Amino acid sequence: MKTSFFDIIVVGGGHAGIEAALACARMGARCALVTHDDREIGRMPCNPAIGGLGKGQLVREIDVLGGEMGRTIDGTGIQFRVLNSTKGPAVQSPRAQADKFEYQARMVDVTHGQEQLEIIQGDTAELLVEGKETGRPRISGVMLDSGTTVSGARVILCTGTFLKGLMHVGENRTIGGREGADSSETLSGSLAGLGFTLKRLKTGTPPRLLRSSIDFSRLKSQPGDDPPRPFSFRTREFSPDQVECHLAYTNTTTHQIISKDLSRSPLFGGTIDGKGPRYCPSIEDKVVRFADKDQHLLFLEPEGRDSEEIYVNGLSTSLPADMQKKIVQSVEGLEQARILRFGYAIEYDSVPSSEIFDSLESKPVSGLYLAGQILGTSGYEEAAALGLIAGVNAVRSLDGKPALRIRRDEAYLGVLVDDLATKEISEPYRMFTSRAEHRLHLRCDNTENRLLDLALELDILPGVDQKILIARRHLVESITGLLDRVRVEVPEKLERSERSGRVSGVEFLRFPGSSIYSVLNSPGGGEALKKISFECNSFSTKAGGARLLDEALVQIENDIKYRGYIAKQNRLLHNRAHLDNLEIPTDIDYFEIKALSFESREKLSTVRPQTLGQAGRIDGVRAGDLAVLSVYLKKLGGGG
Amino acid sequence: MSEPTIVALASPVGTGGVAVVRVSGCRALEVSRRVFQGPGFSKAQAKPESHRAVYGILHSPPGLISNENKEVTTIDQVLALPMLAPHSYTGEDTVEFFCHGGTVVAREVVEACIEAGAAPAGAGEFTRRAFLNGKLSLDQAEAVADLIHAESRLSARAAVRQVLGGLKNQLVEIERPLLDLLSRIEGSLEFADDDEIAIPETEILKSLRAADRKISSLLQIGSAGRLLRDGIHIVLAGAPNVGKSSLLNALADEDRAIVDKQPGTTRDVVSVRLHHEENVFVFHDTAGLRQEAGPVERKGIARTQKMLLEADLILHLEEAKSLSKRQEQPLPISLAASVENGSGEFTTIVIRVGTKSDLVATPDLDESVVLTSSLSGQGISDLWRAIDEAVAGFQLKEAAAQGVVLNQRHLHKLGLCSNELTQLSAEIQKTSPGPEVIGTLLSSITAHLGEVSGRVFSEQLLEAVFSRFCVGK
Repeated sequence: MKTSFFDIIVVGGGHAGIEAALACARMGARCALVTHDDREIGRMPCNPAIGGLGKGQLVREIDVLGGEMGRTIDGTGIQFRVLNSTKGPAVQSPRAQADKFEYQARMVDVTHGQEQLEIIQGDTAELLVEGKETGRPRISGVMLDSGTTVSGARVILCTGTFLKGLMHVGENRTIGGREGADSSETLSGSLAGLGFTLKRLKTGTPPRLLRSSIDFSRLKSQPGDDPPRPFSFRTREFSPDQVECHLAYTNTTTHQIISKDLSRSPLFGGTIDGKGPRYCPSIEDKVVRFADKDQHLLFLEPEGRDSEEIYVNGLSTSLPADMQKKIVQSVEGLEQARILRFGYAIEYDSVPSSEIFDSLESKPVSGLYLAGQILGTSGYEEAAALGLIAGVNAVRSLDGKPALRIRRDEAYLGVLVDDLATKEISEPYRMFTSRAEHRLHLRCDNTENRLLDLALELDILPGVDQKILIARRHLVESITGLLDRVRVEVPEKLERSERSGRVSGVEFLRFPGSSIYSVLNSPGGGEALKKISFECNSFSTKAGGARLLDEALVQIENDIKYRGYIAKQNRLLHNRAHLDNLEIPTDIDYFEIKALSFESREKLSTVRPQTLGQAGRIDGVRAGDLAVLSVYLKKLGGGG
Repeated sequence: MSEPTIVALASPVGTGGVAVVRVSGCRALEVSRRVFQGPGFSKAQAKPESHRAVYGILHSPPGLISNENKEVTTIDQVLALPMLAPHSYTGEDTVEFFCHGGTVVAREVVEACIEAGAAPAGAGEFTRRAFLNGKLSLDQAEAVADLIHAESRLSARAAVRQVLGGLKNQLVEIERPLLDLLSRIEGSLEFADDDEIAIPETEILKSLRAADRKISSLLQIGSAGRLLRDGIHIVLAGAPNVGKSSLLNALADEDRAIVDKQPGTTRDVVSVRLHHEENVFVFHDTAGLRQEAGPVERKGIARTQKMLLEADLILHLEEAKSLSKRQEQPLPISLAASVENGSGEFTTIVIRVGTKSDLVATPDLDESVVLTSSLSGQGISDLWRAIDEAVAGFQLKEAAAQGVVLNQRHLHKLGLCSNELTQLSAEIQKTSPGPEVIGTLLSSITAHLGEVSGRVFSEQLLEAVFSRFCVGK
């Protein structure tokens, strides 16, 4: 039975699926979002929070490219904080606690209300392809477990942890994609049948506690920032009523409880095969690996404004229920705590990123795209980023346009996709600022400027927002220019012995401790300073408002403060950048190149990098191998 | 796809009793058959025995079908050594012809092979092929370049050590603590809310400086490597007619090991390359130093002064008879000027040499002066001893033993890293940039270090490597 035909079918209503479906629909494609429960779209099965180090930057980038995540958390967040606020702006990232119920409700509304997007409820059982006999098969749709066929020219798989999901609580094992949801058992088989390699990964979640059973008076509270800052440049009204989180600590008693019965953990007892993330270890992992530490920090985070559930960040575990209870109650302030839901580990099938191109289209099946945890990433933000890119690229391929290739020096989005294309993912991948060698440039404060051209090209954002972005860039450029010309007096506290009298605004900003506002308030600025004031007022009243003006000024200040370092960094990195422009032919036979080590031949054959730059970033491909490859490519190119 | 068969002279140009011409490629045997008559090389036989030299006649190739009557002329009697793939330097079929030395014969052999279908080899092409066919690693390829350039035994020894990893060990010593520091800085940035694990600036500075110091000492030992490879440059300075040229000839005669003697690149300097003991020396005979000089001569003197600044060792020549007057002799003016200009940096060893000792009966002078007579040969071996003593201070043996011979690329990269580390330390003291800046820059600096140790690749590196190979190797 054939229901209908779509340009693009998105499978999965998680954070990747949402951005993929919305991007497709907003770019004009007729899109279907197939999900097992249309009221569960945008659910937060783990941490009820958006953002974090490196991740906050991704959310900002998604926002400028027309994604939904930033606006939704701004509208439903209950606590907003900038992490690393004592460190430099390049490593500061916004993070917010979500009211996860409101977040989900809003995502359900947005997707249901989106034009061109149809929500189809059902479990996807199988991928349908054409042309399997004659070569690389082409996707033609999906079949639901009801037997219904949904046809489409492109399919984007965003199935998260649902592929053969298996949950562990101690010795108890339950089949499912997350607590309270069935897993997708047949889809894995369908992928394997089409020639995909599948790999088991593991992640986990902590127990949830009953709010009223916690003695908060004995815990340190952690309030949100005052004033809070939103993620999205499109958010106008922003005055969230913020709630507090709390800090708690494990102790030696906690650690003894764990060490004594470690064998009861499926992780250490050997029942879990999948690899878990090192950066987000379970509490049993922490106790074993950091045996010399007497305590570990826990954050108690409310799952919603009025929710009775408290998420225990830092206590991810798959130990048996009775042990979880003892562990929780060994912590000061949690002696009487009641566990509402136990922590669990989940194992699931993922597709190694060597099975995809950097467009996120799969190699085995043409027209099939993958995004989110199925690709081995971790986190809502990484998933959303991939979803957006997969959606955009699916539409572009329908339009006959080349896939986006966002460079590593343009955005964390570029770093994310490039890392997936070149790194062997052996644990769930999460973003860090140290993954971005250009992080001094890839800041939250300049996201609008960095991605403006791309945003205009994709044309997902409403026209009014595009105009604001253009006005903002104009403002930044003109004020930066004016700051070069303006001459202001240096206040005594900033003055250095070799400097006296007046300096340019740019020089002024290079003094440690100076800010753009101190330049604007300095005496002696004359005409140029007046012009700056005029530009600011005009942007504030006609385009972006006071908050965007303030953010743009912060960007200008940071641009100037980092300028020298960024230039230095670019010089230091210069001689490698051009390798990204050297394309490797897709039909290259690495086993022909005898000078490559066998390991590299295998690695390169599996990953099939698209540029020499990517080849160089593959784990295990050594400098010498790259040299060989480069000479070989020259030879192929006829250079002799 | 196969590459063209190539040919080139594989031994140094113009010297030696035997010249080696190498033919390599899938058509090497075919080309050889057309120019060589000897056992195993007739058309009837499929392949000659590998690694077995045969004696025969090398001649110009017969004409092609259109010109079959072309006369075949004998060029030389040669030994041909076939090395069949993959057991050859390049990994391809290779034939080496050992012909009589001298430019003319060798050139004719090469030309005959080209006529027979081989292409002239590009610079470094044999090594490039060896590298592509998996016969050499990049490290080894670079060391081979040094082996080719290595003229002295010490230098060759160091190049061999390098293949065994001397430099790499030293680099690991530098890299490891830096990477350790880097990972701690990054950790403090990425796990902000866990424990506050900020690293004190003083500790960062300490690590950066320690690394900088290690790189500097590596550079110091490594530049001894330059002396091993390029030779020790000795400049002869002194007034006109003090006997510089004669002394140079005497030194050369004593050792009877002139490699080449050619007019210097400037018309005022004559350079002579000599082997002595385990080292290679390059002597530069400079224009005489005079206070009253015309414009042309002043130019020459300026060049001399530059040479003096760049010298590894200076022989300061004075006539013995003037020395015997027991007067304190002033340094030649230019030399004195160099000392002053160099703001105390000028630490080159100067050996004072008294010349024309045969003209003085019993000179009574300072023991540090080496008395010589180029005419009688007296004192020349004393002078060599003095030179060897001075050279002993250059730590050449140590450099060779540690296997740390740095080539231009190494020197450049390490210099860059040292420079960047110094700048970063200064920056930290001056403006206290945040850990995010320190971490970012440090990770790039370590990436450059990695380009020396081979951890990170840059394509220019490869260009640089292959451009250093001379034709034939």
